Amino acid sequence: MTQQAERVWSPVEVERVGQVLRDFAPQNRALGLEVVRMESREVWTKLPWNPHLVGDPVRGLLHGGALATLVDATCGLAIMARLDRAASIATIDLRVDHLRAAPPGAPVYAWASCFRVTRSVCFVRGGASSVLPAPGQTPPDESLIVAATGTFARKRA
Amino acid sequence: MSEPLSDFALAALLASARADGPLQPLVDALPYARFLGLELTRDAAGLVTTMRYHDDLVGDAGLPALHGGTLAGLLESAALFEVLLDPGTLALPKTITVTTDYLRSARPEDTRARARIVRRGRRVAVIEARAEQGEPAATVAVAVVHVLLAG
Repeated sequence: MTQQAERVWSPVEVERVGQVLRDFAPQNRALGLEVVRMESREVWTKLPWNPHLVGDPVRGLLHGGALATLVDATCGLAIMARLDRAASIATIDLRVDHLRAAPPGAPVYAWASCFRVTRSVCFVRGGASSVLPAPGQTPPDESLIVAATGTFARKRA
Repeated sequence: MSEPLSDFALAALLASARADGPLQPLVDALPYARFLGLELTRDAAGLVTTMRYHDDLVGDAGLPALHGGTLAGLLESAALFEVLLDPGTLALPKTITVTTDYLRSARPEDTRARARIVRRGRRVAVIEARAEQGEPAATVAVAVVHVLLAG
């Protein structure tokens, strides 16, 4: 596969992609998932704070499942960014490492990058952070909440 | 947060659940378990965590299919319930890693999960979990979960 030309989606396009993501997946809508930034090489999303997603009510911490859903959706978006079109994909496997608890009461930002595409499989890495870094910057290590790796199957159109 | 739970209240829920009492109060104490629509029951083979189908669980409206993240959440929850009801667990474990393998697309219907503690060490426990749908049961996803035990 030839390398796609770099593309940076405009704020209006990013907003439209977010709507599609929520319309396409009611679970993304239930989480209130937003698309923040979209480039061929990396995408960023936001999970607003929601007390219904708490898995540890003693400490007020988000459940890993909510973070897994955030990361899974963000990885799917990274594949669409890399291919520059809506793609029908299915998760083959997803590993989520929980580096530290998400700060209670605050949004979580997730990123993903699709670094290899074959005819049938896409390889993606990503993560989640308590801060949204400036474009082109990486989040500081101490802000990292999740590290994730996923493989996805491309379904025949 | 909205519904804080004291360690004491959690310990009371665990004691009741382990003494063959009702399991659902434990589930209902966890907001995300209610968000997913989880039910915890017991049969001859052990604990069963059921994710009742509702439209918000869908991740692919075209097929339709459940969101992969909700299956990961179900499997992690089943693993945590297995550890929570294991004697000797005093507090909510912290999840370290979850690796989920998706075997087939999950249809828009109820999904059942069972978990088994593979190894329980002093600090870390390893649990495997399996999610299935339909009769006869077809496995839709499996996961290996590592948790840090309190202490």
